[in-house]
Amino acid sequence: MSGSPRAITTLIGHSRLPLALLAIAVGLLLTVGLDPNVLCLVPALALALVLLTRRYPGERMLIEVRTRSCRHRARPSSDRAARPRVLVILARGGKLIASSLAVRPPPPAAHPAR
Amino acid sequence: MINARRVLPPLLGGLFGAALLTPTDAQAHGIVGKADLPIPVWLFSWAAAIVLVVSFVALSTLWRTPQLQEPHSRRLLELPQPVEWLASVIGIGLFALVLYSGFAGAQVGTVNFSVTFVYVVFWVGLPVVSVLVGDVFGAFSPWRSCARALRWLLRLLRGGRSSGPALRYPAWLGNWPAVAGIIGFAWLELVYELSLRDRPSTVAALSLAYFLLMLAGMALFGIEEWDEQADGFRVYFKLLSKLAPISRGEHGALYLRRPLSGLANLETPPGTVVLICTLIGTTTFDGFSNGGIWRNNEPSVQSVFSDLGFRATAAGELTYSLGLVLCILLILAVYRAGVLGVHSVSARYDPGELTRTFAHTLVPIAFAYVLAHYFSLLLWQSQAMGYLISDPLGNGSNLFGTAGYEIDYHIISYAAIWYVQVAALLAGHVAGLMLAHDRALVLYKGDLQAAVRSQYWMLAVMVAFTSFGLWLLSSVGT
Repeated sequence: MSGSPRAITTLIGHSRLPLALLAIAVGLLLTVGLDPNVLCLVPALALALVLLTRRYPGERMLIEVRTRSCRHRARPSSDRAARPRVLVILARGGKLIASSLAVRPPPPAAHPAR
Repeated sequence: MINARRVLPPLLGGLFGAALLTPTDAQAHGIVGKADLPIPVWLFSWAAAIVLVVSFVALSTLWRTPQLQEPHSRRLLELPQPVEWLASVIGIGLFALVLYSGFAGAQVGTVNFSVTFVYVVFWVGLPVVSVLVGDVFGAFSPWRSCARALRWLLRLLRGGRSSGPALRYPAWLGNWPAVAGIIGFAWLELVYELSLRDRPSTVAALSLAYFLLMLAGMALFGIEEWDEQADGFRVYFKLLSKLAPISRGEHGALYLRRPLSGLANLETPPGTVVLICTLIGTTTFDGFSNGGIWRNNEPSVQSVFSDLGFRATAAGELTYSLGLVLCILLILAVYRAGVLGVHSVSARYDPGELTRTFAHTLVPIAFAYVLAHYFSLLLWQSQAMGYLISDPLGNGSNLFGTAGYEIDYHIISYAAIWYVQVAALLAGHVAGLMLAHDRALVLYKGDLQAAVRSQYWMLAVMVAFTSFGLWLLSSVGT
């Protein structure tokens, strides 16, 4: 899969031109002008170097943290599901009256005249 | 076939080592040189990289579901039709003033309305407005308004009958005319002979030519089709407006949406990726051409063209054109390398598809580059509008009593400018990282490893652009 020699070969095959351009650009920068501010580019080069050697530092930790937190989140809901449900059935007479009133209000005579 | 394990580590390691061998006693130069910064410039770059890495870790562990794929918008208000008409009239009026002041005014860039308006208010100010309040240029575009007015007039003359465009806009053309427009403007601003590019009559003549070109395109291919895809400025400003929390809907309705979510549904017709990289590349060249490396080496490249028989002006323009093209290619190469890295972790999507899918992550970077590079120009030079509005021709008139207004260069310190630049670059790249992470969650659903690994590559792209941007800014004037 990801770490196989074939994948690496494909990556290099595809990225030869950009990498060559990058190397030329950086090489030019370093050779034509040794400005101390070129040090600004070091983090980018360091990261590129690490990734091109197919290393993903901290990857396992990131995945673990994420999976653990996902599992941690899922637990309470699964506990709830395991618990037997108690069905509470209440007589909802009030609701029946309210809905009937909403559809057809009581006749005016039902209201005491003020 | 090249073996990666053998060739690349020594190559990049050598470059890395060479970078480390340079003196560490860094001194700030150019704009930042006057800032008297407490720490060397390169340390800002390293700190920015650390912030990006921390953001990457936080996103990978805490941002578990896509948040930016839907705009989550809610209706704010509806603008009445007269507001749009008013905007069109203002747009046409300003354009007419650019032409009039350019042709009839004093031929000195600093005292003529046209030059400051086009290079500062329009080119640098409008992107900022677009990011803050959304797609405003659509309403103000003079060529669009004129084309619409002409269409309305023609319909009236034909007794209400309307005829469609003569040609259908070819799908393969996509945003390529817009790319040409943006490169053309950048060439005018950065490459064309200095005495001519700042001459008001040149600015007015080129504005008129662009206006006529847009009208012709709209007449041939339809107003909306041409406007949305081929007008470089319209495409550019609309692209940036997708960063805004406000969007415009049908019939003048305004919507409030989640910041950055407007980019999730970015359409990528042919040329879009090149357009975004062109925006970053042209700004890059603007910074690079003001740095010591370019200034030290540009004469030798120019002499090569002179030896080939070109006149001094042409040789200079060819050298700068070459630099401009190389900067655009460099940005394209960095992005392409990042995308190929993403492709290397999972073959679920082909590189072309990934290039388009992650293109929206470059939009905040393009804006960050523009803001970082032109912030001081915008802040100082836009004040010139104070006196130019009273004396647009530069002939001593005082229409509104502000002709005596002067630019206050102490409005902000050099150190503050540097901090704004660093903050803009960092915020833009963190936004790009957020967009990339959000997209990866959708693309690699069910494959956590691929999602995380793909983002290592996008992190590398963001760190590269941040470091490069800071290096460019630090090198200005060296």
